[in-house]
Amino acid sequence: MTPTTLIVDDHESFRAGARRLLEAGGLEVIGEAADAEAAIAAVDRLRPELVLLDIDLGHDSGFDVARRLTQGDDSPDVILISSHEYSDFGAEVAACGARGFVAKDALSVAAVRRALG
Amino acid sequence: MTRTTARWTAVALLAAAVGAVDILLAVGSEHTIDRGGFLAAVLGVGWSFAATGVYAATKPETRRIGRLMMFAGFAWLGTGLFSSDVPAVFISGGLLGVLSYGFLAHMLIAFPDGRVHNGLDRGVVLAAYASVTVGQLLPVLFFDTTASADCIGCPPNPLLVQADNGLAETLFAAQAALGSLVIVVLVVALVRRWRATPAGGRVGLAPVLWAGVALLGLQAVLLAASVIGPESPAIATSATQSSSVFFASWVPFAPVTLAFGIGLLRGRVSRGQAVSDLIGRFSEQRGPEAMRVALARALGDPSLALGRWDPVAECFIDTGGEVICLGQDPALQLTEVEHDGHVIGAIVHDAALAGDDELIRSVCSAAALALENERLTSEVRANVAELRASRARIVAAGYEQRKQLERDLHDGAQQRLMAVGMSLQLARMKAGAGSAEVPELIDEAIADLSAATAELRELARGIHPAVLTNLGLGAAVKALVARSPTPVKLGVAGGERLPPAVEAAAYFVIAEALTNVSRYAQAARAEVHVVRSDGHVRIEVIDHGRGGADAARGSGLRGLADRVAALDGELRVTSPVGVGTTVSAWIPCAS
Repeated sequence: MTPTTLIVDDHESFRAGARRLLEAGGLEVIGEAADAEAAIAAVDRLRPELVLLDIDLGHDSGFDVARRLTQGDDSPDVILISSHEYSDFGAEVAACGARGFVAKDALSVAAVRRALG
Repeated sequence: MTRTTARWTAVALLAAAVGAVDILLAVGSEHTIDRGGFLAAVLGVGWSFAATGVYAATKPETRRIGRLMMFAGFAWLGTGLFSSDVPAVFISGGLLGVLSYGFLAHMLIAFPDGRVHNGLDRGVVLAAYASVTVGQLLPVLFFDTTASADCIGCPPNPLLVQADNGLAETLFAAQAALGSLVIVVLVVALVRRWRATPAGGRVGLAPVLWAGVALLGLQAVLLAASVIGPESPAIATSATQSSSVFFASWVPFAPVTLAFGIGLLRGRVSRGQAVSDLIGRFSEQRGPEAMRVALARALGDPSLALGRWDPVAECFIDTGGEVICLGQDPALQLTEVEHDGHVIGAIVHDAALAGDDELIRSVCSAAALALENERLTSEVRANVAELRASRARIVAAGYEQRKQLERDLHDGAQQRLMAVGMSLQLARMKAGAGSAEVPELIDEAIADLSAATAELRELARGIHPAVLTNLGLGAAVKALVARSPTPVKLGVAGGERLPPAVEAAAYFVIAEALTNVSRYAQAARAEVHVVRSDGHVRIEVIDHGRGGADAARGSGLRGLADRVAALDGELRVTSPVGVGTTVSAWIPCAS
């Protein structure tokens, strides 16, 4: 399975590094976005199947974006990522409509597939 | 025994001696009719006035009135000399006796402080004295005592100029008329005085005035009777009168002394009470309006105003915040309140109270203490408020700094380290396949790690530079200057290391100031000076750039100002537009 993937993170260096890593692992990365507005616009335009979404987008909240992205019927799978740990967020992850969570320093294609279930 | 007490004891003994002389003279007299009655009156009144007078004279606030009473007492005792058969002594007695009326009039007008305050009062007193001095001497010059029906067996008059008893009697009558007039005006003046005295002052005045008025009234009646009636006046007030009239005219004098004594005592007690009450109220510290009310009550003057001296506006401000205008209403008087040699406030009160100096003085002392107390309390309150605000700012600043630190770590070093992680993962994936990208990936990882380390180092320096801890302020500032984008001329005093808190505060002031120079000043150069002298360190960062820096705007400098103030120092920013900026700080260090 190679879902089309959108990477959303406010750090350019991370987006570049993650893209390389995931493409090497077999995911098809079709776009990047740095904030909430760009993410929603990119999802509308590119219609990815998977969105890797940073929780901490500077001024924007990844949870809000996740909620908006998962509202409609044809919404992509959202996996939240963060440099913080899962235990820092508690029930928010489940409540916002995301499929799962992956810590940034443990990011790999295998981890993503595991999160998708 | 103190000198004062010794002096007054001597006076008391003198009074006793004069009294003894009077007794001797009366016993041996050939012309004194009712020796017992005469002596009783002379000694009774004379001694009681002298004694009350001496007592009053020992207290500073009643010294003047006390002296008057003493003179009156001695004059009365002097009347006893009239019993003598020696002409000179005999006539002295005749002249001294009436003097006591002058003193009495003076006493009544001047009660309780012994001072005469206005023109009318002064006139009455002068007229009274005139009638008992000149007014007595003049007729005596013509009175032949050996030829008078009112003076049987009297020795000759050594002051006799020309024997003309008819003229003498006319002059005595004139004196009586003047005396009566003086008494009437005196009574009027006393009534006016009573009406003008506010409630608080009347307490001590009452017994004296009523006794005095009664006495004077009686005297006036007697004088009038003696002018119209059969007996001749003046020396008629002495021993040659029949006892009943004699007693009638003298008896009221005794209560007058009692009344004076009571009046003085009541006045003192009431004053003492008022002032201690006042001090009690002041210690409750309920604000200036409560003080004003307490003062008004103590002085018995509800119209009283209390003002504080405002050195900026150069006028007195009352408890309502209004400026106190002076000198418009003649019924009001302003008394200044002093403390430590400076005028700190004023009381505007009824002018009638001005007579009672001691009351005003003691109330002013209490008011001075209270005003000063209130000023110090407000100062302390203001300082405490400022300290609280400063403390809150310091805590808030610490909070902000830590949040910023978390952000810097997250956005900087942490990202780099994650990039390192990802590079290495990729490298591992590709290494298995023998890919040529591996060395490149590893190089990237190394570069990212290096950058992360540098960022962490920078962050740590921002928290507290190691060079400051290890080598001290001088070395740390040199390092700052070396890293500054703007060239800096540096002058640092050597010497022993300063206390760590002082070093840290000084370092961060310089660091912040230099950052501002690089960011805003648009200056070609800057100067940094660190000078130590006299138990403190002085820091200056000077540039000649744009100027116009606002210390209130930059929270960085404001936080530093708080930190410096927490060390009992001071931070100042001078930044005239177009001229440049000088950040200077002064921190005491116990060296």
